[in-house]
Amino acid sequence: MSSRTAVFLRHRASGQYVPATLIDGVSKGEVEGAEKIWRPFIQEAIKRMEVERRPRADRPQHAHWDWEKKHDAVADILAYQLFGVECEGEMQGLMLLKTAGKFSRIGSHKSQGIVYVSFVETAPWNSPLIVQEPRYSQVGTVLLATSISVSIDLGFKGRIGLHALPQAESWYATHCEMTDLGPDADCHGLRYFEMNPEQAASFLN
Amino acid sequence: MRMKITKEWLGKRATLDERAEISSGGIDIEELKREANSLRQTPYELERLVSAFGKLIHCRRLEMGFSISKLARSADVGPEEIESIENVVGYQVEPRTVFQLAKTLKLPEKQLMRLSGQIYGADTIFRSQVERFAARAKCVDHLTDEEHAVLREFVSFLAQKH
Repeated sequence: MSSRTAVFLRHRASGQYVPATLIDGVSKGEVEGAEKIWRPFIQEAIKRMEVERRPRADRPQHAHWDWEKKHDAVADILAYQLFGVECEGEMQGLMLLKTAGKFSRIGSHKSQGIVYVSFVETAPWNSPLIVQEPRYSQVGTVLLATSISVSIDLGFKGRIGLHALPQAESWYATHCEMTDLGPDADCHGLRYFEMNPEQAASFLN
Repeated sequence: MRMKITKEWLGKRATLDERAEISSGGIDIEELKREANSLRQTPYELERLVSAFGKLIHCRRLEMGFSISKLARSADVGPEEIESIENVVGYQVEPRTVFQLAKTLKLPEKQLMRLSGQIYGADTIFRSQVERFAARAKCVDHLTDEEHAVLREFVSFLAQKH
């Protein structure tokens, strides 16, 4: 069962905020719909980058992700929640949360429950890695605020954690002011970031 | 979801979020499957919510549509107390909290006191019913018809004179 909430995204060309829908409980059909458009778009972009001989570091590191497989892997498990942001009939971003069995790694909050952002991705036409002029901005902001809100609802006081891909590290560290706990050897060396209740309150403020 | 995402709030962050790359997620699909399957085999709710008292509060709260924070406000107790009751095995709850929760969740106070260990005198029937409830109640995020039935059966048992 899914629920829908009205949110907004910033349409970059016009600078205007446009109505969007936050979906809690994205269906298999909705994930399939997104994948059908997203993956070919990314593959096309990668082909262009190869032709232009762009360095590998510039290419999207999540190009191989498959949200259908992610959806199937966690289907019917209560500890996972799949969110999406839809705007103008297209999925603009997806996020998978794990709401149980993850605990804070920050000293004073150690062993307190957190909401773990297992995966988050924006539609390729919103990614500055893939297109020169992204269509919508703040998809990530809407999704991150959602993860904090879920954490608060679950009694975790806004605590969240995630492993950022290298190309996204600066946004989480600088613009979301999450605590950078450094590379995690148990997670392919990706940097692990956490937000404590004070940082969460500041983000939502 | 309590938070309302407004244009005004987004507008304040617009500069920070301009051209942001957001992708995160470190585990591959096989790891995700393994992690998810381990939760299927050992449901997290059974690990988290093992006491009958905690399960009762959790299920009743869901049945009445309370979030932790809303129940805390209505019952005038700390949200962290409710969190501990529901999640921490052997958490020593204050008598006042039991009283407040009984009132708000419309549960018989005396039986709730017995269940939480505040007063003694649990007989065999009481104990077996408690064990039965603890074994059958699944502390999930939404109650199914079956879980509603388990809860109703236990609450009506508690409401009887013992």
